[in-house]
This record gives sequence, structure tokens and C-alpha cells, in this order.
Amino acid sequence: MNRENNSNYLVIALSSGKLFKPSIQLFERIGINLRGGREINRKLTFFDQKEEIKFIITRPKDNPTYVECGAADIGIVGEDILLEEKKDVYRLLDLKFGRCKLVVAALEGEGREKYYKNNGHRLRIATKYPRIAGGYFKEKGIYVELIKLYGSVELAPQVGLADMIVDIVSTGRTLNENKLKIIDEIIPLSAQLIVNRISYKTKHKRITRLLQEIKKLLSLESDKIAEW
Amino acid sequence: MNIPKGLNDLLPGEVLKRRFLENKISKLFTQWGYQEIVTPTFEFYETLAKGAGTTMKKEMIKFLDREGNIIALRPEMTTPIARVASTKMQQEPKPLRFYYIGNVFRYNDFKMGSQREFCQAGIELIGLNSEVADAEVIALAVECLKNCGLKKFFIDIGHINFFNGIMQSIKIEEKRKLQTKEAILNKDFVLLEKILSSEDIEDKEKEFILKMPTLRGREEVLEEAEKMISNKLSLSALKEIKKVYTLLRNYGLEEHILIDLGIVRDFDYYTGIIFEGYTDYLGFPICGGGRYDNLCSKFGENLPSTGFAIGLERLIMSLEREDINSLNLERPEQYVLYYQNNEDNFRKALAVAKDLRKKGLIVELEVGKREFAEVLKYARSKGIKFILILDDNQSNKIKKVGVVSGKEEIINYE
Repeated sequence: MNRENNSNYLVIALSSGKLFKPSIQLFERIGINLRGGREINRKLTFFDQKEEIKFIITRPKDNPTYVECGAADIGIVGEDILLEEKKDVYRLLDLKFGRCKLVVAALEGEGREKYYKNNGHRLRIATKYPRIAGGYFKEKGIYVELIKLYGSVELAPQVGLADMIVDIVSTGRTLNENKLKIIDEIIPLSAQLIVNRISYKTKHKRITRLLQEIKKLLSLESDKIAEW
Repeated sequence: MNIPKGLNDLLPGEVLKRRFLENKISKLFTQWGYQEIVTPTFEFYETLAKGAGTTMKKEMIKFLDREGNIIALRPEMTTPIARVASTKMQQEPKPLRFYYIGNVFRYNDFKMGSQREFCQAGIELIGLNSEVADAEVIALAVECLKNCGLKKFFIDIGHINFFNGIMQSIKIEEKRKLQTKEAILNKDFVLLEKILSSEDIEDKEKEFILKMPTLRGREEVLEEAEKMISNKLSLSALKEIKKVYTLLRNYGLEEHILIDLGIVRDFDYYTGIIFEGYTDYLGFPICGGGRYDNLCSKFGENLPSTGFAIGLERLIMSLEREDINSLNLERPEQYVLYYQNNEDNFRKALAVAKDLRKKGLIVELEVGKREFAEVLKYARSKGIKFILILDDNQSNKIKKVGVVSGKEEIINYE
């Protein structure tokens, strides 16, 4: 990382994966040239020279790390990651796209009351989000044991690794296919715009201008954006 | 072999840079009348906790001693110094001016610019409650960064009561207020907007709270803020900032000073003017400090105080990013003293080495009984510029061989 070369450029960190395409769309719609990003290649950086913006592509989970230490000024990141990682960054805008929700799910069967009755033993919860899940169950007064997994969480109840899962759901198809049903909705989620705490001061004008343009677009297309 | 996470061995090249800056800094602090103070590396947790907020308490590295007391490694230097000032220096005339350079310890996550052991250099000006004292401390922070060679940086000045006043004056129920405060401290403006929009607060006030972190600039910021707030606490905070800013003009340092009403620092002990230093090269502050008028009284004596600390690792990072060669320190000229191995020569070599060292040269005595060619190779790879060869037959002659050039020179030696 070399911030020195970046000092004139605004560095924006995009998350690879589900949020990548809508993020590109967002910036294109406000008139930023992202030709480099459209090409499918292995390059992880591309530029809009006229606007002096440099885009970098990060793993979704790493995105707030780049922003926190100042390697990027701005990040587009999933709310799940932001809530789980707790980084020291400004969260300035809910971008409204990439919508999904964090839910508690269990194998199809009886009702919620039954699920939460632990009959004298603690419930085992498999999740990629131990911090959020832990906080949620603590607030509800339910004693759980958290099992941290890195993916395919739906598998855990089927093979007896956990009683339930806490995971993100967008269409619900994966849950259905794995015979899981939603017991509780913890929180709705969407893409978020975050900013480094020093950049927000030192590059304030440019960042504010960009934010205003994004806000304008969001309010103009509020019904369409959710579909991105 | 591993060392615990978050710790580092400093190799000689890094130590050289560190000591170079430490020397510059301690010289400057001394010239301003600050005296060095050294406190223990670890203390009772209870003592250190008096100056720590919730986060800092969690981040302290703790263990039990043989009597079962909880001990903690110092996470910062201000609390130990406040303890000394109000217990052991009570009879000393005030103000007290202390400086320190030392390592502090925190369970930091692994992120850039944050290790679990890191070095802080700083000052404390104890026993004065005046804007002049605040200005002196900020001026010295600027001088210190300048003196170390940093060119592009800003010290942002704010006031803890500006934020407190606004929080006190907004009329919402206590629970909501706490949420609002937490959202601001967590820099979560999406949540903040949600909370505020559900409350019956004047639009003007809402807008102002959301704008707070970006109120940064020269004096015009104060005017802008004055127009938008009416609570006494915030207004008097603005007045204080103005006084300090005016004083700093007299120092001629305004090019490095900005007023910033959005600063909120992570320490609980601050009571007045607070400040942070930023460079273009780091996404986190390089230094920070402020006024803490109630900390000393927790140790028995009421001493209004102010101070700051600079992170040395962060300073080094900034300097090298500003100019890659800024800490390319000239290596002092170093010699290897080579002699034909026998007891007579050995004694003679010792005497010559002693004498040359007394003259200020760095002399390494060849002790490996190696052939000259090997010593030459060793010196070359280590960047040593000259080899001195004791002449066997002539007691008062030394041959000086340039390691790179191969040039020989005979030096007469008394």
C-alpha cells in the first residue's frame, strides 16, 4: 500500500462477489467511467483518470480493513460484515441495494416456541456471524453455544453439528432446498458506504460531492435500486 | 521460535531510526523546559484503570502477581504520570513539565499502525488551567513533528464540551440520548439519521448534528458553529478554542493548525481542549492529546493538566512515506582492526583500538582469527568502509585499506 501515490486520487474499495455488479452500476450511473471494471480479468485495480478515482477490488470481508487503515478512502461493503467486524470507520450511507436479511433458521418442523425451548441444555447455533448472533440471543435471554463456520452453514443442522443456524437469506431458495425454515428475522441488511475517518476530514469536499450525487440517484430510483 | 502476537523485534536498522528520532525529540522537549520521567512498565490495574474508558480497560494486558493483585502493563503514560505528580511531587512548585519516551501495551487487533507494544513520546504540563498552557502543548506538538522532518501535517483542535453541550441540550428521552451518543462515537451516521428522524427534534439541530464531523477549517468554522448552537457549554467551548487558536497564531504555527469540531477522542479523562494530528500518509492519527483536569484529583491532588503523545512507529511511517530517504541515516564510519595473531600483536591492537575509540571512531576488533581475505569479505557485506592493519614490524604504522576501493594508505601512529 502506498498512500503517497494515492494522495490526489480518491480510492474506492469495491467488494467482490454479490455486491460487485450493483456497485459498478451505481458509479456508472453517476457518471464515473468504470470501463476497466467491466472487463473480467484478474486486475484488482482500475482508474477513472478524469475524475481521479482509483477503484480497488477486495474480498468482501477485507473491505472495511482497507478503509479503516486508510488504504482506501471509501468502501462499499455488506452490512453483515460491517456489523460483525466492528471497524473504526464512518458509516455514511445505506445504499439500499444488495438487500437480504439475517435470520435464525432450523430444520422444518415445529413452531418457534418449541425451537427456543432448550430442555435443560444449551442450543447450538452454527453461523458465520458469531458476534451478531451472540448479541441477539443474549438480548433474548437464550443460552446458546456458537459454532463459527466459514460457509455452507445450511449443512450444520442436517448433520447434527448444530440445532439452528444464523445466516443471511435473500431469496430463501437455499434454505428451502436444505429443508430449513426461518424462525426469526434478526435484521434487514443492504450495502453500506463507509469512509476512512481521516479521509472524511482531509478529502471532505470530494467525498461529500460524491455522496450527494449518490443520494440523488438513490432517491430518484428508490424503487428500482432494490432490484439491482 | 515465535514471539507473542503483535510484538516485534527491532533490528539494528530500525533501532537506528528510532533512536535518531528519540534523540531529536528529547532534545526539543528539554529545550522547552520539560524533564524526563520514567515510571514502571507495569502497575496495579486499579491505578491504570482510573484513567481508562471501557475500551481501554478491555485492551489492557493484565496478569496476577504472587499476592493475587491484578497487574496491568501500562496502556498509556498519562495516568502513571498523573499519579506521580499528585502523590510524590506535591511539594514541588507548579507547573510541572514532564516528558517521556517509552513503550506502552494494548491488546490491539492486528491492523496497520497498531501493534500490541508500541512506543510513545509525549509531554504533560501539570498544574495549570489556562489557554496559554493548552497553546504551549499544541505548539510543542507541532514543533516536534516539524523538528523530526515532517512537512505535511495538521493538528486539529476541538473541545470535548462542544459535543457534550450539544448532547445535553437536545431534548429527547435519556435512553434515546445514549443511543445517539453511541452512534456518534461509533461514527455510524446511518443509524444516527434513523434515530434522529424518529425524534421530534428541530430540523436545524438534526442537520447540525449530522454535519458535526465535517466542521473543520480556520476561524470561519467557529462563526458557522456559533450561529447554529445556543447552549452555554458548547458556546464556551467555542470561546476557548478561539483563544487557543489566537495564541497559536502568535507562535506562527497556524499553517499546521485547524479547528475541528468533530473530534471525539477515545479517552475518558479529557475535560477541555482536545487535539489530534493527521498526515496525508496515514488513515489514522499520528498524535493526540488534550486537557484532563480531573485525573490527578483521583490520586489525591487537584491538578489541572494537559499533554500529548506521538506514536513513534506512526511518525516513522509518515516520514518515510513523505520522503523515502528521510530516515536514510548516514552510517557512522566504522573500522575493523586486523592484526597477525600473536600475543604481542593482540596487546598492541588493544591499545590502538582503545586510542581510536577515544578519538570517537567506531572500531571492531577482529577476533575470529580469520585470513585477511575473509575479513575483507565480511567487511564488504556488512558495509564497513575500512580495515586497519597493524604492521607486524613497524610499531607505529597502521595500514588503512579501503574495503570497496582497495586503496591503501599508511597512517603514522604514535
